[in-house]
Amino acid sequence: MRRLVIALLALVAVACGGAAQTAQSPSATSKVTMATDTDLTNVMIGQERFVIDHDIAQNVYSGLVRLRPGSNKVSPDLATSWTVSGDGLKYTFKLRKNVKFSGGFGPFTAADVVASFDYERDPKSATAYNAQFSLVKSVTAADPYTVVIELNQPYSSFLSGVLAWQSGLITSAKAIREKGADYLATHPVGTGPYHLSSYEKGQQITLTASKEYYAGEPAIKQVVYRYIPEAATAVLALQKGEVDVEQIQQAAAYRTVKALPSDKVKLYEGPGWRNYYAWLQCGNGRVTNDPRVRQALERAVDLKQVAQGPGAGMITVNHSYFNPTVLGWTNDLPTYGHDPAKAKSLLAEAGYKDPGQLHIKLIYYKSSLYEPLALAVTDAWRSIGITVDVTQIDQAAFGDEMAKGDWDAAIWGHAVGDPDLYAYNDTHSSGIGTTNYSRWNNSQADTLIEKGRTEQDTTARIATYKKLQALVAKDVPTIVLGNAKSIIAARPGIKGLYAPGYFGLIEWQYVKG
Amino acid sequence: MTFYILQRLLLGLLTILLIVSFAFVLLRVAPGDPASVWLGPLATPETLRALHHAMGLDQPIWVQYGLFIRQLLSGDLGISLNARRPVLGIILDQYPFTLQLTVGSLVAAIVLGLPLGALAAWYRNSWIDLSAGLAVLGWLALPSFWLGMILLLVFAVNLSWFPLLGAGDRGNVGSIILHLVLPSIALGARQAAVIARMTRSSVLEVLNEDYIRTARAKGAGERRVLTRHVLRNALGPVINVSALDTISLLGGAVVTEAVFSRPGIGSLLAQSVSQRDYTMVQGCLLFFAASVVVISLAADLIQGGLDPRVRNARRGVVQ
Repeated sequence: MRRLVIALLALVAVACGGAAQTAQSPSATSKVTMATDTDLTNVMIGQERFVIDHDIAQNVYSGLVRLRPGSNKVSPDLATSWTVSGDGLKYTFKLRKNVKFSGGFGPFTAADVVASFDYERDPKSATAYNAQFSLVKSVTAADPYTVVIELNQPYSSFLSGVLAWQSGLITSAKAIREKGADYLATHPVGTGPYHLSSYEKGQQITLTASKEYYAGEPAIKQVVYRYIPEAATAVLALQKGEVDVEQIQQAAAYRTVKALPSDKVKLYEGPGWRNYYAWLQCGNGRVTNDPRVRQALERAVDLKQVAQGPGAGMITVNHSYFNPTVLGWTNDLPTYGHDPAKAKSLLAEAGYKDPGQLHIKLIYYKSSLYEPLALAVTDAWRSIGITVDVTQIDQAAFGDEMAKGDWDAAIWGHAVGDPDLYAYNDTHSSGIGTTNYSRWNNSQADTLIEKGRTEQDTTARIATYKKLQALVAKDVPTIVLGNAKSIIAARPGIKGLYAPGYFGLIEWQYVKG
Repeated sequence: MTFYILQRLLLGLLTILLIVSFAFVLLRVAPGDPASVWLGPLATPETLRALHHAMGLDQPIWVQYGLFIRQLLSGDLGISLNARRPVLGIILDQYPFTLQLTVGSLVAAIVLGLPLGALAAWYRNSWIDLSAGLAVLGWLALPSFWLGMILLLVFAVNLSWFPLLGAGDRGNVGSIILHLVLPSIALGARQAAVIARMTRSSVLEVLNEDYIRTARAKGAGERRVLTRHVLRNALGPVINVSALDTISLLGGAVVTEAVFSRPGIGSLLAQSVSQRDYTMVQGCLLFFAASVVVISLAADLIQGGLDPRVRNARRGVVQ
């Protein structure tokens, strides 16, 4: 019995000792711990699998150009200046000198740009960005510090949509040659502000500030991404001080952190890249082919209530199918406001005197807010008498279901950082059967989209995109349920922290500490 | 004896092969192709083809299976489709954490369940028996996920007696044990209930045996009767049931590892299933199947160790 008591006391003592060690230093931050709900899988350029892979890639690599947080204007990164030919087909980049790769892989030169983009363009590499590089005709090194990229057709989003995002990240030619993509998957070689200094699978990933970073060693010297798969545990970890920063994605977590005192938690919120949609099927002979039916479906939904209720305050009302951070976004659009009576009369016009005769098949998969949104939309439609058949589909199988188009309504999000990626992929007729899930076919829209992706003048582009957004709002190939707020919860005192557009992707070089 | 073990191992290997083959087919038949899940809808047909080839998925299924078996026989579990690293390496790196959790939970289950069951039987129909019964009911009913979160909230956050996250520092035994306490209780509670009930009924049965009366008649003290005569004979069925139930601990590891942010095969399996990382899923299932075989063999041997009748039956000795 005595031995048992001594053992218990020893256990408590060890526990107390352990607890003391995890106490955080309150002075100027040089180390930050962030919770992540995905574990590092592959950080080779073009091979990033999950959100954390993108987050890390953005911190260890650089591109020719970049988009600084909160801006949709392209700024220099590894390219110090560039010119575009009059016909929009030839881009000439002057490269930054005295930039070094990590891991002793030597100085950065044009050959590395060529090798990286050749890797992306080669179908055998099977990268996610291969399709985006299909409009690139050639990538050549004119001299060690000049790269010339020629396109097959003019593309105004080449800088902002392809080169400034993860598709444009650059790694060392020598590393690709000597180590291969499989090795680089967990040992990235980059010129970014951080190095991946350690990776303990299932536990944590550590980034260490690069002393050779061309813009100067960042203020935050060490970033630890702690793998916490359960959102509830992540919130507890924040409360306990075991993590400093985390992205809030679930309603329960949001409610909890909002209720915490401001000396414990600081919330950063802003527009995110992801919009939530109820895509409506405009092809495949479905009932939603009729625009009156689509307008009725939108009128039946109270979007303000959806943002607060099922959206749990994590959604902002957004009428545009673009997200608010992209060039040309506007909220000044014609909409079909909440009007159940008008919805019913539209249905009657369309031949459904009894709304119950209208059968809507709705599909969704369970992730983020898709389920509460699916249920809210279903409720709204059922409340005016429409017959709705809701089906939850497994996440991995959802893409195929979307592409097949055997549905009337589908709840899904889309998160990209460039207007053309919404315009061309979601609503151009060439995307029918692949990314244009609603199979919307509108020649006016096609013309605007093609104009928007070839116009060089920014003001003209913005005007074109405004017209396009208005067209989409009018014809309702999709009901925009709102924009997902980017929400970051952190302990107070981390200067320069912000809510990033892409999920939890904080570029730590901009955080002052 | 050796022949018996060899026989069991051979049977075990066959079981493992069947399980993994079943998983192999099921994965490829289920909707959701890992290449298109990964590349998304923008993938050009060329890229999809290239990735299918890199993943080994462009061959007919029997060719894939043949290659899979050949690799398996040479100890190669293939490459993780997503991480592009050998599956075996990843599993060897992660399985110690699941092993720790399984052993920890078994220990917790025994420490909590055995004394409770024995006491309940010894003081049958008293208030001790009644409260033990209620505790057992509680442990059986509580979902391990919920129990885990409650333990974390009370002991890791409010009281700060135990850490909240992870498996502790590698090589630091104290840290590892500290990180195991709460998850072991959460995962082991249900098995503790099973052990308690089994122990109680087994002890009760043994208490009625003639040899107990004989032992008392010989003048043995109650303590000696309990340990040397009662428990030794009662443990047989308890071990049998616990061993088989330990197998369910492996399944429970998936949820427990998630709640406690612990690395391990359970966590690995959960991630790889949702992303259709075929080779990784196969590898994890192989590990689980192998563990089940080892655990049931161990249980059999322990029972043999305790009961000479079983041992002799195996040897083919006639009583």
